[in-house]
Amino acid sequence: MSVKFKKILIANRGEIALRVIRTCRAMGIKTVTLFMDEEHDLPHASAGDESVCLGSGPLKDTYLNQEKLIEIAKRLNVDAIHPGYGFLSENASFCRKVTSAGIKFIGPSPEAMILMGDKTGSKRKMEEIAVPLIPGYHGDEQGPELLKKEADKIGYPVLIKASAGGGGKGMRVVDSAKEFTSALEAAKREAMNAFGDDRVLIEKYIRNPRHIEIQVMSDQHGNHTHIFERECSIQRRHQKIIEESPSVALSSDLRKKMAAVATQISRSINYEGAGTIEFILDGDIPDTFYFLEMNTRLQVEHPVTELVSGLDLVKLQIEVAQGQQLPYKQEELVMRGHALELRLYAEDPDNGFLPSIGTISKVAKTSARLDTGYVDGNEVTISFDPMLAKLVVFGASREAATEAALQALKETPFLGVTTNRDYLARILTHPKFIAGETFTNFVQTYKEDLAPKDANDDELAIAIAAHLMSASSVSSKKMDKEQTSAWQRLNGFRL
Amino acid sequence: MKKKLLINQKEYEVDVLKQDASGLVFSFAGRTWSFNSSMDDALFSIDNSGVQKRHGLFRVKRGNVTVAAIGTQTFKIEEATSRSAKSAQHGSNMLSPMPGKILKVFKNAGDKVEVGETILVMEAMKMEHAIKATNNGTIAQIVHGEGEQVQGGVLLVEMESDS
Repeated sequence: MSVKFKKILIANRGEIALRVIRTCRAMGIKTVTLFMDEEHDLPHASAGDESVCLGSGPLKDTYLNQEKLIEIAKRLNVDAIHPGYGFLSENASFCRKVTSAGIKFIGPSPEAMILMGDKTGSKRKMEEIAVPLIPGYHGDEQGPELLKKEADKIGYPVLIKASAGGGGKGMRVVDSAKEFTSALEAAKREAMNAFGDDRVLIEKYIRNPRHIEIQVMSDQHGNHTHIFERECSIQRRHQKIIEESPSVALSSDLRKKMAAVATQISRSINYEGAGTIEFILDGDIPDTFYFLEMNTRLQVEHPVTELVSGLDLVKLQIEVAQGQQLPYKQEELVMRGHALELRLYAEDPDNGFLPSIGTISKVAKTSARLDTGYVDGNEVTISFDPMLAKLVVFGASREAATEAALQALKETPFLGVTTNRDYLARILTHPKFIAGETFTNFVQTYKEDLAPKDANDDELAIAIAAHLMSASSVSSKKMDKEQTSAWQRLNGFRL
Repeated sequence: MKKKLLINQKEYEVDVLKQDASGLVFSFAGRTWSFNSSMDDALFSIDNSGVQKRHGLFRVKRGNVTVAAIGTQTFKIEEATSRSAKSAQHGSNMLSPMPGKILKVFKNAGDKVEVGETILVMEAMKMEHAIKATNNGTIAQIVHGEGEQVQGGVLLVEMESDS
């Protein structure tokens, strides 16, 4: 039995709130948005059909205040809550409270959320259904012979890690069996010195990992589908920077295999809605991948999947939540072209990636898809996530998409705030990126190549002219020309 | 007319040969550059063969400072006044390491300081950062007062030049 939502509360802010509104509007569903006192001028504050101010204060009193959000939802008679990503999107107790208030939570059941949110629990479940996990030994027994035997079983190279560890201390990569014993001794010594605890764990070492994730979508009627993969290997400190689909690393066979594992997972936990299964793909051993974790929500980088599949993921989420069947069959889905997403951050890559603030005088002038929560004149503060926007481009090939991305970057200046725009361009033009040799250690490995280059004379000359010539100083000679005035008369002309 | 400009904190010399209603001509880096018009989002240059070239850009002027986005790079251009020129040349001046708020100022203009002495404390990212003297000298000016918000990379403390 399916229902039809009339009004949805978006329990989020910024670009994702605007993204959800766009689809709701297209579906004829009214929206309620939330904002804080200091967000009055941000577009999401006034984009909903109704909006409610949460006051000010820490997040726990505002966007994360579950009781308050449910009270608002009840008062305004909403049928469903869309949690976006982050905030309360993977909070099972919120999901429960929403459900018991008679409101539909757009997402999976709290049980699925709890199971996949727990690292140990989810791995146990994966073992049960024979999903590949990174081979390792995490036991208490620490005899050197036993550890050696475990390492042999895992297969070299292995990584010895201090159980109490962190920061690379007590960490050793071992390439072969004969090096194991001396490496173990060194790792234990280091671990003892650093943490006063010499217990270690052993894991398969993946020298060139790729981050590959499969988008899954399931309805309430037992249809568990996937919408292909995204590769998100370009990341810094586990923060994704560039995402793409398809991945150059997947043959159609491997894609089928990974997607089959992903849908097997959603089936095994009776999943509902949009989810993402993250895998590590070993760049050195063909067709070897391991389950990492599942995100039980819409992903930040969902637009790349939308561009290559032609589907609206938010629309599918809402339809599924309304109890409808998925409107497609797995075998009908096709992937076309190539999509890239670039995350623009308010940070200074050339100065330790320190966050930046400021007033945006110009966001962008581009025809590329730009998912952003800012408009000209907005203030960027350090109160929220430093992500300014997601720039999403499409091309017939990866090369064409990269070219489009470079062009679009020139059209999204976020003038007034220091951004990672040029840094993104340096990544996109790096020979290894172009060659598709993208591993999760990319930005670290090529740190020097990604350092800023000195501006050339041509760029400097334009900068000088930009300073010396005022914007309005179109030369009088030019003004007199008929052509110019004709052009100006085009103001207000709509196509 | 010779002009000194600071572009992203680096000083450049520009010789403005002509600047009037018909355009701008200057010599820079051993070449002559000729721009004939300027719009909100573009500049137009003329090359020797008379071909007009379009250079798309975004820019904003704040006081005497122009911030221009050209290609994927962003340039901050300002007139190199005696003070800013000095600050670009002398490493002894203290810049704010990141955006934040000036919490406390311990010294005044004219005070002599030694390396490592705390001149002021600012708060950024919910942490306090002491801005310390990077060499011995005399403070010429403390640019911002307590309670003021500052951007990253702006001049906080100007030291007197040794000359």
